[in-house]
Amino acid sequence: MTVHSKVLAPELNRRYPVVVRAEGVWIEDSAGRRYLDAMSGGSLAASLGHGRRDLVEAARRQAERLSYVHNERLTNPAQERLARELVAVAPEGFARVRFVTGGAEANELALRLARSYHVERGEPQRWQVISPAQAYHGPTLQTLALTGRPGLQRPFDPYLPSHLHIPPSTQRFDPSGEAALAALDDALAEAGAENVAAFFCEPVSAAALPAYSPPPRFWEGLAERREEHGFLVCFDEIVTGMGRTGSWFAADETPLLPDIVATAKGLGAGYAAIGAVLCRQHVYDAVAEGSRRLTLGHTWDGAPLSCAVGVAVLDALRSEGLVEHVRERGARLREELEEALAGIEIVREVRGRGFLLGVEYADPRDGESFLPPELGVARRIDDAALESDLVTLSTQPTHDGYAGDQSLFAPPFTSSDRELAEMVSRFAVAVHRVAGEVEDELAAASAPIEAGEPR
Amino acid sequence: MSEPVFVREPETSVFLRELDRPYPLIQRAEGVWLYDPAGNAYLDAVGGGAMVTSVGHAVPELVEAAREQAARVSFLYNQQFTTSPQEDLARELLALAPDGFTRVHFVTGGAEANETAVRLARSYHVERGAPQRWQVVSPAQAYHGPTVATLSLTGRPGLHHHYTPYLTPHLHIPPSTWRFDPTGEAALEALDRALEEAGPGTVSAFFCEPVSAAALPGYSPPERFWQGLAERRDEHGFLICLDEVVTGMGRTGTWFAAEQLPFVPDVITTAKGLGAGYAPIGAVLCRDEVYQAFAEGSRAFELGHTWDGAPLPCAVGLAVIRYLRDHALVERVRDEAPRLLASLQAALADSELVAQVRGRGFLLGIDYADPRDGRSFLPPELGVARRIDVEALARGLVVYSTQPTRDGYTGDQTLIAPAFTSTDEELSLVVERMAETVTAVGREVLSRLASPAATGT
Repeated sequence: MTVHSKVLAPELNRRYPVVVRAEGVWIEDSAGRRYLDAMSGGSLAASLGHGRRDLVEAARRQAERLSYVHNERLTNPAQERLARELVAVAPEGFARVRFVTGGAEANELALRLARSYHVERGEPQRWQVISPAQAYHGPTLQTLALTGRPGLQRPFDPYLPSHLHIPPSTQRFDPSGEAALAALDDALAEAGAENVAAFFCEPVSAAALPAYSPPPRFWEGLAERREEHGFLVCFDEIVTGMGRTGSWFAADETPLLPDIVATAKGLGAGYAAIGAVLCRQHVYDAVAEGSRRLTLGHTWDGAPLSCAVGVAVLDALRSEGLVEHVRERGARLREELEEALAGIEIVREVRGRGFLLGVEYADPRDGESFLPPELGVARRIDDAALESDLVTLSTQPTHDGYAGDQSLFAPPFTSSDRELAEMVSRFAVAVHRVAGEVEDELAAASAPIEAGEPR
Repeated sequence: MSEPVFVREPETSVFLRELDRPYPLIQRAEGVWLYDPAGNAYLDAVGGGAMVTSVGHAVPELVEAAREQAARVSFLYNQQFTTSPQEDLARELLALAPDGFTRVHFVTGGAEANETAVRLARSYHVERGAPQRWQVVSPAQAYHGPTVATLSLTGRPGLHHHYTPYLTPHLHIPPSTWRFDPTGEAALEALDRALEEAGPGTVSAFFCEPVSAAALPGYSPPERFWQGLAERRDEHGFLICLDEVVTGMGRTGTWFAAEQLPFVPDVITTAKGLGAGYAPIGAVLCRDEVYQAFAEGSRAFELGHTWDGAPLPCAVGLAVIRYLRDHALVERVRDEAPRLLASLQAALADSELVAQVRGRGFLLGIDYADPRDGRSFLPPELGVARRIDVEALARGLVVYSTQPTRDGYTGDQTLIAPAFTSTDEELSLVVERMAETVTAVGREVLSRLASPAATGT
């Protein structure tokens, strides 16, 4: 934050570099310093890089013609076209799209749609949601309730409906996925399976558990339980949708087809704020054969400007073969990252697919426990990376009890081989440096803290 | 007019809000005119359908400002970076806000702004060591957004319908409309009861629109209510959050409607007119006292959305403010509004359907009543709101009517919110077409009411 800033910034003690321009994977601040963007704009939206003339031009052309009309009572060609094109790249069986402005809104709508589906079908008692605790679905109160993270929910607990949560099936706690399935069964029993509207989850996690995905057994077990109990499965593909994991949707690679998918960031790719909720035919039919209404929306839902950008983003992804590129290049990128971080004692796991990679750290004294949170490893990794002019995003949800310090590594799909190599090498330098400091500090400290329940 | 072009349910991949509604296909727009592919022109009297395009469509300066910023840097996450558009827009907005406002937090739209305001008010009290304060009291007949938390800020069963299990049990008071409580005293009594019901020291905020839009078009509580509200804030220590999602940025003839109230709120949210249809952007503004709770407390207000404070929407916000200033549009709204209201009132004076024409600035509302007593809500099955919009569209006019009758606080109503840039001729045309519309629907309603079988009453 600059000295005279009037912005109510997320962290008042943090210094925010003032960015003046960006091009491709390079971000330049007012002091002329150039940062390499390994985080697609910092929050995974700018998946096609910065300064794309084709997208800027698509936005301009549409804005000159028709920038805004409200889709509550009017429609426009851009909305109609993007809906068709999105359905065409969605997993088999997805039939309809409702546009929103961003991820949290998409998840809120997905939840309302799941609830409406059951009410329309004459099961008004179904409302409860079960979801993995260590997740992130947005900062609105309803989406905060979809996680089970005290560190995130405090002090807003009085506003949150009581949904049920299961622990993640990470390497640390539940590598087979069986424990999560047992917890899911417990949750179904606790709620009464006939009261459950939806299971809500990220197919591949982002900020909450970088690049983590549950094991195949979990997905199979989830599909069996959906079959048996009749709830819907909603995928939060805010991050993973539109190619991030090397397929159009991560659902394409998951051993279960969800009923509802929410997506956002990569759809506007940093050139428009847009999100979408897609649903399968049977979900749509419940409304079409019932009340024929699913009202309530936001001002910018389906606005022509945002939808035209979405159309141009799809064009770019298709014409440049970027989804395939991410798939192929992502596998090698992960190997390169693993190799560069090999031998660093605080690095416990490098995981992920496509251009959504995650690094998990652990206490080097046992290679297993969370790092002591007061060491602030996540923050130090980002600071060290920034000193090397590299943008990363690390998190420390240690207080939630399910994960310790972690980093996300999610470059734009358009990064060149040289740029990717440079990102990997700068990142390794940063992790090395912090690891060295941390090992020294720990040499003087007490026993590691064991992973466990939220505190 | 040629045959209007509609998109209907079987021919779209969009999950429409209402599957049986034909949606006019708008292809192009300029100024206050919307065009369909057949060349039909519709006069846009409600800002693109949602009180958004306050300076009209296809304004070259705004398109160019967006293009220029997007080419330089369109998006960055404001948890890691800032940009001069974000910094400058924060300063500009504060310069226009009521005295004492010192910080701005940007978001993407109105619902997000209101969600953030609820979290901000709650956090303020927690920071100051009053963690028992969480409850919100708000007028029942309002609209603050479609997210679950913002739906909880209203007390409307028709809006909540089957989402009730997710809603926070906040407390609500009835509106002080001419029908129920013209003085505002009943609402103040209800507020006192709510404060008592919540329990001492548990209320975090009072949340309301200074002038309502979709929920009670053009309605504002009477002066006495505002004074009483301010007295109770002093006594009980809750914050007042004003939802200026619609009214902010000049809509009511001042930059913020708060300027016209006899007290200064603690938190203001705004959105629609800030991006004016050229970018989705919203903002939460707070008084220094609120900010200081964080500055002297945890020094963090974390949780945000992807697009909060991104350079593209902030640059558009700056260009919108510049445009409003350069063309003296807020002044135009202020000066022109009384004449617009008077001419709409005059044009509708003879309609038996119209009970009240009200509003401030370019935010006007028509409240309909049953012509048999001039007072009761119209029978909802007559679908008057829907008929008004259909008839208006047939006359080349886009307005926004609502029928929240089953919420119990109001019946059929129409919202009119023209662009500030509308010419005198265009404003006259809005009034003229609206009067024709109401006359036509009024005739139909009278004949339906004359044959009781048709209404079931």
